[in-house]
Amino acid sequence: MVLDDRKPSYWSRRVSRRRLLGGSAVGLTGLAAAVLVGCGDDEDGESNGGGTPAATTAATSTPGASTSAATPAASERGGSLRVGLATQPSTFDSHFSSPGTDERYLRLVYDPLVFIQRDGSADFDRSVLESFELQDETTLVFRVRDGIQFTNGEVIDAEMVKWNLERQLDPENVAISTQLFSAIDTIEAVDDGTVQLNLSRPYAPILSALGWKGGMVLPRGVVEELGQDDYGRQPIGSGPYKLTSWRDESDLQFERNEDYWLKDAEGRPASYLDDISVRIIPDQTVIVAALQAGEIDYIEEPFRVFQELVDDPNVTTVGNPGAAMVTVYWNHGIAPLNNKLFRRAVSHAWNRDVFNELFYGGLNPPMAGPVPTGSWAYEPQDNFPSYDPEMAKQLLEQSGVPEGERKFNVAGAARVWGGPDAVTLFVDDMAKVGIEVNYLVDRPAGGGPARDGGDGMWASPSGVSLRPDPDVNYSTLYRANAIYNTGYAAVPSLDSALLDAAAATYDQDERKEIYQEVNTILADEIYSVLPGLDRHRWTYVRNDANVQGIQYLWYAPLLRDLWMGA
Amino acid sequence: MHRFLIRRVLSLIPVLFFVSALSFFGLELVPVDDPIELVLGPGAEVGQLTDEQYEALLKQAGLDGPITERYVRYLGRLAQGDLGRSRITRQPVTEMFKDRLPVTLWLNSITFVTNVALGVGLGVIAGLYHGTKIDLIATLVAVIGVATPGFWVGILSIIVFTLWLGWLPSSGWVDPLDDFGNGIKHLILPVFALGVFGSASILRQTRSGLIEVLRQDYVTTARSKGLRESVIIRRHMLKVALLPVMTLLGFQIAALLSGSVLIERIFGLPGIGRMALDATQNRDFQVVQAVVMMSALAIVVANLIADMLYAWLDPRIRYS
Repeated sequence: MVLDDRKPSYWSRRVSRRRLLGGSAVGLTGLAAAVLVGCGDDEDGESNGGGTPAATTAATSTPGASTSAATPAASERGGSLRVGLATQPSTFDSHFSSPGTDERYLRLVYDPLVFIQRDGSADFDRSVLESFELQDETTLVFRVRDGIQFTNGEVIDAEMVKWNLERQLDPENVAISTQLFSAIDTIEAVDDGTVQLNLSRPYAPILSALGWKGGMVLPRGVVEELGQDDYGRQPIGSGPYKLTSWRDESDLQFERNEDYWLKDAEGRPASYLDDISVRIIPDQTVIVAALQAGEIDYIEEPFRVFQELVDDPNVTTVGNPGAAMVTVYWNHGIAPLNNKLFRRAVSHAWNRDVFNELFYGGLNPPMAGPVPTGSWAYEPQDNFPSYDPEMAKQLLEQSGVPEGERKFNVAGAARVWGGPDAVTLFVDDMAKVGIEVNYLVDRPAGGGPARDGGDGMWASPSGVSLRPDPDVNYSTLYRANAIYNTGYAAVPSLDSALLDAAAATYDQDERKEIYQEVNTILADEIYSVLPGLDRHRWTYVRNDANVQGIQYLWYAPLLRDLWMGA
Repeated sequence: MHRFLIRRVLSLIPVLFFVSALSFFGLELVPVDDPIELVLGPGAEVGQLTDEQYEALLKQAGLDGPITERYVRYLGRLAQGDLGRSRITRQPVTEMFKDRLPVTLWLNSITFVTNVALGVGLGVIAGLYHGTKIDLIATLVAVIGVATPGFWVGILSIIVFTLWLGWLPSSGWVDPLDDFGNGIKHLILPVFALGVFGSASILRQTRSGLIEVLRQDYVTTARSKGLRESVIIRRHMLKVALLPVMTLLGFQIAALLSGSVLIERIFGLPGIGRMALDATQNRDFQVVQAVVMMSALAIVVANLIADMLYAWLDPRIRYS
């Protein structure tokens, strides 16, 4: 399907028509990828072949710091990358894209208003907005970079930015970032190149919100012409690649945007590959076989470790630590989970090391804090209850929960955990200290709240992904009305004013101090979720493809910055 | 015959009505914590919705109002050929069918033809040589084929033919109308995996049907008239022996449709089966309902055709 044209109907076309699909282009152009090298960071992005997987680690730098960029040599530019992924995007209308797995696709086609790096800092060199000024705590003035065009020629100016944001604030629309943008009161296009956001309250995560799906800029003309649903299949962006073909549940083809606005030091467009073809291969055995057979060069698997690929000398494994955590969501508002000592006992009873060894090959270490380790707000907490079954038994006695009532239900298929067997292991751990866990594998996980009469009473094996701003992780988990606080249970020891204060200050150091206070409380109380393992995201690449520039933003790898070494 | 046809076609209406009710109310029984999950999907990253947004989303998705009212609305849309819109892709379901039907048709028709050719061919050989080593081998192959699940054959064949031997692609779809050779190459393993059970079943049925007629008097009579063996087999034996196979072929359509659900997923083929599986996993109920309806229609029509073939093969059968 050529997206710029009307989609040809299979049923009306001539049988003799032949079309070559997925052909690779030639030529060498592009610019370097930015790797995560910030002030004082420990990010190396190093990868190795076979045996021991390499890991990227989260950078820690001050807000506003820019990245330095690794640049492919001229001879390394170009080439066709063949990617295998389990899922296709739900839509290319980024404002309404829900699944986290969409992000890797969206960033091929779009640029965010603000490019937020893994450490939470903004890189305005890579952003549609080239500068930002905080006039006062509720007035943010942005300068729109001059000369950025969509591939159809529409220009990104202040009016375009305003329309994009207002589209998501429209009460008729339920956009992915509606909640994140809720602090925006009004948006003004001061002149062609200046946008002013007037907030109803000080809100530091606004920059991160502008760097996420809601901050991606869509062309108004095309969106209005096609409508939301059709546009989602035929996107036009200003990003490094153009979607040229999308066969549903089969493959997507992207070609380099020759006019990409972002340039490297030598003035070449910062889109390095000639084209990227993505094959949708949902079956895990098949995707591994396809990589090993050389049909594809690059695969990702968010949920499990492919040990056969880790051990394959022809394949390089790159991990993204801190991208997510394996957890148990639970309703801490119902007995016996409303008892803090009981919750701590559960945490002490869970042998996370064995879980890690058996289901993740020892590559996802135990958590000791309430948010993913990749977050700049994360610090391991001394008071977090790690594996200690004897302590668990003592706490159970101290909790006052009678023996017959030391039980709770767990529901859900537990894909994130590696399947129901992992939950059975959890159940066994609990049984060893006298806690009865009733595992209801066929019941939906039910991580959501009890709304409209739903019971909201279940604990469920699940995961928490790292978000662009820690406020999103904290606010969706640990507030009384948080979406992932099952049952909207009260959080009495955690003053929500603390979370409000952290979101209201624009000083990252100050925010981090507040979050440390919050972390200590959460490690003691274990509200909403029981942290389990630090879940890495894994990427596997064939050595002969020599894929370079692998890096992640939060949970999503950046396909847009890849290149193929000489 | 015409009256029979009209009667059968008219009988489709209550059948489809029943199927529509079954699929609609059956899916209503699927437990969800919150109906909004059916709109946004489980674990959607939407944050907290206002009550107004929540209600608007439910209304937009047609999930507002009592169940009977929703069913009547659903039937009304169905009568107009409107199968709704997918929650996941936001595409009209009819468009999705149009895109995916060719894939399933290619896969299932090639499998069907291969099944019939292999099953009948090997069944005839096994039947004619029954009691010999040839028969023993054919029977053994048939038993293994019937007992082996297609998805397992699929995975195993990928490991052998892609990973070890490097002869065939592991997965993916290339339209044979675009590139015939490559397209067929991509279909060999899926057809093999999907067809193992079917061809084995046909083989068994053909073999036993043939053995049965071998001993019939009219066959002995034909031989005594001095007819050539090939003529006897073709004109006198096969026509009768294949009657039960015809019934089997009707079931084969259903088996292929259900079998392709897993096979299309394993081999990354963007067909109807894959769409059904994805929709089920994602609770995309508009698509699931549409697939159930269309599958029911396909199976009923296939059985109708099988009945008509019966009449062609056996003049004793009259539909009146």
